[in-house]
This record gives sequence, structure tokens and C-alpha cells, in this order.
Amino acid sequence: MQDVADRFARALVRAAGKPFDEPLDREAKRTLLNVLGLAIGAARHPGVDAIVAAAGDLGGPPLATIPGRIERIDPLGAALATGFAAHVDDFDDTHLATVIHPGAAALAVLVGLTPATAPTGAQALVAFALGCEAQLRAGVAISPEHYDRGWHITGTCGVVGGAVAAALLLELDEVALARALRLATTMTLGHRESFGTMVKAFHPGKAAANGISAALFARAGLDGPAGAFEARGGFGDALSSRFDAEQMLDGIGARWELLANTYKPYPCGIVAHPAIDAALALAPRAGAPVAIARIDVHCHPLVPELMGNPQPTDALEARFSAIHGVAAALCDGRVGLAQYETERVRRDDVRALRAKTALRPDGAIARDEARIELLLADGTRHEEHVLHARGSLARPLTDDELFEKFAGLVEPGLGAAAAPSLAAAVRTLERAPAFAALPAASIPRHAHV
Amino acid sequence: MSSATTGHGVSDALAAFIVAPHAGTWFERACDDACERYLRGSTAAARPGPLAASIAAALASFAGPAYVRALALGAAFAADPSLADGAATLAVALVAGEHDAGLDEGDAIAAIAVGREAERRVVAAVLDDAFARVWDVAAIGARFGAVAAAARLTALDAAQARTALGIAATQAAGTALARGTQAGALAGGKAAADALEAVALARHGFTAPAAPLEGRRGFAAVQATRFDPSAILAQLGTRWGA
Repeated sequence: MQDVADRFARALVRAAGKPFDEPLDREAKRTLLNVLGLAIGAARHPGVDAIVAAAGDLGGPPLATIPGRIERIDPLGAALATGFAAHVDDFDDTHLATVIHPGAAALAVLVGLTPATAPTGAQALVAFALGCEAQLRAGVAISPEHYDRGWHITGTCGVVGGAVAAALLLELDEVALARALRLATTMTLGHRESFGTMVKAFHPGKAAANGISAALFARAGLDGPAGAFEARGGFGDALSSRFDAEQMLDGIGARWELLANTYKPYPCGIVAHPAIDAALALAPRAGAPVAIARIDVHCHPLVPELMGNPQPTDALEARFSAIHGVAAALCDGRVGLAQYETERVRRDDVRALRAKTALRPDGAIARDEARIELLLADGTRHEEHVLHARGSLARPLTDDELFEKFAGLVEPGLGAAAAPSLAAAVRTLERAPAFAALPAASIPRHAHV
Repeated sequence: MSSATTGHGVSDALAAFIVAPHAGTWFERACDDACERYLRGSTAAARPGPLAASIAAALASFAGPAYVRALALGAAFAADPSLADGAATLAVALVAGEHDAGLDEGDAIAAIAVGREAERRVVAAVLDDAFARVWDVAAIGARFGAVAAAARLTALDAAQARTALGIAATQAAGTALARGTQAGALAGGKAAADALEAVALARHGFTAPAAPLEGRRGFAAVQATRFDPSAILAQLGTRWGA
């Protein structure tokens, strides 16, 4: 009898064999461009340094490159490093219905398996897109209960999508892919306790490495238990109080969750974005930060739940502080990576403004909505109401905005000429004879000393 | 709520236990048991069988030799009823010996004893019917035993050991459905291999949550329906293998 893994594998392999229509092709490439930029931009993060040093200790075969770095390490280590870097700035793509960041693990599988599988550009694009789609469909089937329980869904579902991307690159058939999927259900990871530490970004990196491992074990003939997703004591039962197989399986190849992927304009948790939009709109009217007496941020209840830190002390903590994003917007008139550097986070002006800011959770406010009331010391009041955040589904980043973001991420490490040529390579990826050219072009030409 | 009910400091206490020097009758008895396992494991490691061979061949050009060996041995032990209990901890200690000719056998045996104690206590803190209904208890426990043994053998300090514990805790995996299958054995092997990686990351400055076991979104809260901090804290280091 066919189980959910069998049916999922069959439908995914069929979808992989059909040409992508224009909207899917465009969204897959937008997702890839965005996440590649992030991986390059964070390549020198201390966490990536630690992963590269650990790979050195473990002594694996140095076969794989890492975007933005000059070292070669073992393929599973390179997948871990890439997925980590892609997610660590909390600036990667987000599928809002599940809160999955699918691009990081999918890119990490491509990076890890390129040396062994030498895919064409078209094969890599298909593996990337279906690796994302499989994560999102597994996520939809167990949401929102799964995340609410405390799981970091990017890790748990990342393993499922990672196995799919890896199996496609390894050119496994649907029978072997089903085995990889069943094996992946026993390699999940991701507690939300890790938020604010390097372990959060470890999740998509390790999900990719586990997905590759699951596909390699499946290729060797190993298998997981029948009914791995749907049976009592399986994936859905262990990870959620709900598992809807039809949501996972329905319309694969016809309806794409990936089309609902979004790209962040600000490098912090997405629930804070509408408040930052409102603060940026208010900044010209507010004038000098010292003249501000009080800031009330009316927001969705998830904002204090996920981003409630009122007074962060370093870069990583600031990414989980909606109040910092609002205060930095009002101080600097812009919110980019610079506003999340530790030195900026600790300065007196923004610290004082954070102390004047309060989150007012309100169940009547939508996830991509926020309203800020600003009281100046002279009694003047300003208000800004954002109905849909920039970068949300209702107001997606344009291709130009996305390229601007990409260029800002890759220029510091690779130089000004790299951004347009990498973006062009992504745009024409399906025509590239070898995907390997893209990771090769993501390596700095000169060692940074 | 008091610290006894919230479990505040449980991860700190377990990390301190992992790296501390140990002595006394209870510890010696735990080491006798560990020594017996170490000898049986050494014999089994010389002929690990077809599952281990498949795993080693599948991963050979994708990860480091110690990582691959730990995965293969851990899975082979997990699939062997006479070694399944504490399989990953044993694999970690044996692989450490294989890759470091200078490793003192007494240290390896102490690491097994400490790993088994850590695993036993973490499992006791969360185990009930609801937990066993959805999780492969041996595979989940293996994560904690293996990382404790690896942290001790790598001579991490207590802060680094807590980081390694955090990296291991977030990877606690293996569904009840997979218990006793190839996938269940693989989960045991993964626990051993990933413990080596966790320790290497901790050594090189990785950061992890302060309360991976007892935190609001930590291991116990996310994966269990009960958490008894005293199962970990009571007489930790003074009473072994009850």
C-alpha cells in the first residue's frame, strides 16, 4: 500500500519533470537570489568561522566551497555553513502561512551536493524549487500547531525539503525518494529555545546536511518506517496535534506554495516589519529622537511573543527586538544591517528611545499590520497606521528592490562587479551548462586578511 | 514558581557534572559497568556488520572519518540488542580511542559512565506514556549520553559543555514509529556523530541557549508533557545508575 511518502515522492518527481511556468520560474529565482545574497553577506560571521574550524577538526574531504569564503570543507560541513549563513541575519525569505524560511536549506543542499553531482543549471533550479516546495507543504500540513508548540519549523520541515532537493540532485527515482523522505522523518531538529543564539541558524544548515544524509542512505537502499508521516507515532503525530496529508499532497505541480514566498526588507524577525514600516514613515515628522516622549506600538500579539526584548545588548538580541527596530528607524531614518551592528545597538540615542517605546499587543491587529502613536515632548501627537508591511504578500518587494538588497549584501565581500553578474547568472540559470559556475563566482577572488 | 518546579539551572548543573572529576564507590561501580561495555563494544567494533558498512560507504566522501565512523558504529550498536542501551555513548568513546592513539582507556571508560548517567537522568526527567508514544526513547536519550561523553573526552569547560548540550538537545529526534527499524538504528548513529560535531562547534565559540533542557521552548517543553528537574538534579554526581 502506498503511504504518504510514496505519494509525495511520486508527485514531486512528476512535477520535477515538467517545465516551470513563468510565475514559478520567477519566484524560484527570486528566492535563490535573495538567499544567495544572504549566504555571501554573512560568510564571515563568527558562527561560520566556528563551523569551518569544526570541519577542520573533523577532517572531512575538502571538496565543497562555501559562498563568500575561500576555504573548501567536507560537503555536509559546507551545507551546514551555507544554511547557517543564509539564515543567521534573519533576513532571508519567509513563507508567511507557515513561517518557514525555505531558501536557506534548499541552497545549502545545492552547495553541498554540487561537487558530487555536478548538476546543470536547470537541474539545480528544479531541485531548489522543489526542495522549497516540499518544506512548505510538510509545514502547511502541521501548522500552526507545530510552531505554536515551540518547534522551529524551518529546521523540522527543512529536513524534508532538504531530502527532496538532495534526492533530485542525486537523480533518485520516486521509490528511492520515498525512502529518503521516510528516513528524513527521524532526523528532524529545531527548538525555539535557540532563538537569539547561533543554534537558530544552525537549524536550516543542519536540516540540509540531514536531508543530504537521508538521500544518500536511501540511495544505499536504507528505508524508514511505513507510514512515516501519517501513522501513529510518526512525523505528524510527534511534531503536531494535527497532520493533514491532503494539504501536503493536493495539487503538487499545479499549485505552488513557493509562489507565496516573501522577502524581508529588514534584517529582523518578520512580525516586527509592519511596526518598522510605520516608524520609518513617522521618522521625518518625528524630528530629533530626544524630542520624543513616548512611542506606543499597537501590534499583533506574536510581536511581544517572538520579538519582545525591550532592551537588547548586542546584534543578535536586537534581531529579536521589535522595539529596537522601531527606535532605530526613528533615529536613523533607515533600517538595514548597519542598524543591527552591536556598536549601533548599544549607543545611547537608540537605547534612550527604546526605553520610551512600548508594545501594545492587540488581537484585532493582523500579522502584517501595525499602528504607532508617537507623543512628542511638546505634546504633539503623530500616528501612522500600516495595513500591509513592505515585503508582505500584499506588498511584495519588486525585482529592483530585491536586487538592491542583493547588491548591498554581496558588495562588501565580493566587490561591486559581482552583484550584477551573479544576478544575471541566477536569471538565466536554466540555460547554464553547469550550476557549479554560480558557487564558483560566489568565492572572493582575493583572500581577505 | 520555585526553581525546583521550573527546573532553573538544570542545564548548568548537567554541564558541570559532565566535566567534573568524579570519584567514590558509586562512580567506581558505574565505571565497572562502563568498562564491561567498553570491552564488548571494542569487540563488536572490529566486525560492525552490513548496516555499518552501508552507512560508511554512503557517507565516505561527504563527511570526516570520525563522523562517519561514529554514525556507522552507533547505528550498528543500536541495532544490536546486547549493545543498544547506551549505543551512541559507547560509539563516541570507541571512535575517540580509534582517532587518538594517546587516549587513556580510563578516560574513555569514565566518559561512558558519565554519558550513561546523563542519558539516564534526562530520560527519567521526561519519560511517560505520552513521550514514549511518539518518540523513540533510546534515540532521544542517545543525544544526551553521546554529547556528554564527547564533551568530557574533548575536555570542554562547563560553559562549552552546556553549549554542546544545547546543540545536541535541539537535535533530539527519532519517532516512536521508527523504533527497532533501520531508521531507528540510524537515529542512534546520528546521535553519536552529531555529538562529535556539537563538541567541535562548542570548542570553536558557537553559542547556544542557556537552558536547552528546561527553557520555555527547550527540549522538555517542546517534546515532553512532563519534566521532573529532580530526576536530573537529585544527588547528581554522588549517586549513579540507580
